[in-house]
Amino acid sequence: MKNVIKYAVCLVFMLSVADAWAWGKRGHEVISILATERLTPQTKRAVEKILGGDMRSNSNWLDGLRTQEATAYTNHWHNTQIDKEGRSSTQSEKDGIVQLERNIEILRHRADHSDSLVVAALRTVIHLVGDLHCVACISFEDIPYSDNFTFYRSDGKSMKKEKCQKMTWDKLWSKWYFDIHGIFSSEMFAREIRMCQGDKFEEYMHGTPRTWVEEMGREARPLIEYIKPDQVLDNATSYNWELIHERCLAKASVRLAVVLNDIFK
Amino acid sequence: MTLAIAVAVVVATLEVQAWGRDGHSAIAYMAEQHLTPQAREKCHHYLRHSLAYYASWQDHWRFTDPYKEIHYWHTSKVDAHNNLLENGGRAAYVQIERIRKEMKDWRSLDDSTIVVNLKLLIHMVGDMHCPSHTSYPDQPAYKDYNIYCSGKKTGFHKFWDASPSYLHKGWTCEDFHRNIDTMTRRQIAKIVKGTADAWERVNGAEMREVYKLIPHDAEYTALPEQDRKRAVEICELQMLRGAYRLAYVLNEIFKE
Repeated sequence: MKNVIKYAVCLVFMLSVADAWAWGKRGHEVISILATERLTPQTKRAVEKILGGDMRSNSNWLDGLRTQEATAYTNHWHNTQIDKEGRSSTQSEKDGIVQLERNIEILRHRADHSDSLVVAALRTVIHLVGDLHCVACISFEDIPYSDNFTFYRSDGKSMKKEKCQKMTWDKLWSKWYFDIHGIFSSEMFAREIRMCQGDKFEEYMHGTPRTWVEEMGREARPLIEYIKPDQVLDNATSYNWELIHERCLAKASVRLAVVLNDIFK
Repeated sequence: MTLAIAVAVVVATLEVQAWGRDGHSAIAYMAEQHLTPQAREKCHHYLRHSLAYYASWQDHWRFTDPYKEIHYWHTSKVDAHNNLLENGGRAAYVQIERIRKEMKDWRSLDDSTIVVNLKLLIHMVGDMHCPSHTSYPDQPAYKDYNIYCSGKKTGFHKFWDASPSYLHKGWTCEDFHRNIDTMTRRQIAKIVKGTADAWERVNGAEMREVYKLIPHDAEYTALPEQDRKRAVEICELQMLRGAYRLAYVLNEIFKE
């Protein structure tokens, strides 16, 4: 019986965290679906030839490396840090923006690299452009807890912790905003983003990965300052922040297409 | 064998935790497939999303100012003779008819009123068709009525709220539309006739069956196959009634 309980606990934990990394599977699929629509025919052909499949089915490959001992070092790549002046100035190999830039360069000079490295680089770029637009992946040099933290979410009935849902900052952005809509497919979420953000897609195209990350820093900072570790987030605010979730998905999608179209032009 | 049992327990746990949002999303998705082009255009214009996106909005905001009153609008009550009880306006069918009347003149309403009204209609027309959303004074209160799913205790109300995804494991909204949204135009026309009062009267008469179908303390998986089949039929019929009637209400509001 003890073993049954042990297996059950492990399984529940695994099922519950599977989507609790940055965007999670659904977020990356939504981003890939929308980005694919914005690829030039030439880029789409090149991407699918390298991947041996579509973007969507390759969009979570990098998350798969996190749980393997040999590649656990890639865990840090999914986050990026904003400095005290609000800039993306880091040159740390562990930082997501540095890895994104490095893998973009590999793709630009793909003729000089092995096929397997090019595939890995493309999968990494697809994933990291997404992740770097997730609020939960943005941390701040001067906010020690901003890597990830636990807080409580009220459903409106009570602001007492014991009556609220305990969750992590990661889980809010990677899972909760998707779960509240029930059995939505990734295609349905993509459609929603098109409907509510489609008129802004052109506007989101401008900039570079570093300016995009700095913009995400300006987006994420007030949110992290509003809700601190171990505090209770009120119901209204959590639902009002869904607009930010939608906006970030839209930006990630548009900008992934921008990056790939530029590489494969 | 031990791992298999553990998996079954965990999956059963997760399934029963998939509350009303799945059913609401599926009903609203199916409703959207039956909107006229003008109703669809208007709904998308005001919501900036599909119907399904806001299908659970009323549940999300029910305990939060300034929406606390909507907490009381999810269900309806009938007496022992199936007469509707208005309950001071705190009944889904009363509010649905109030909003239908208000929205007849939607062009004179401000945008935020239209948006809230749409979100309430999307949820309440679905909700009123949930088998456990008609309450009877001559049946046990929800808090006292428990049933079991694969050994896990769940409330009668929770079971029916979660029934779309519990009885159709792994289905998406598109799957519900593809697999059960198969009624003919004639059948749909018959279903959508009338007002929310009339619909609730039918619910009141018909949903007594679910108390006999799954008695207090019953283990659902141990019920005779014909009873489990009947539970699926009731779940699907009520979902379709909700979907077709929601589409009808919205088409009527936004008809040219």
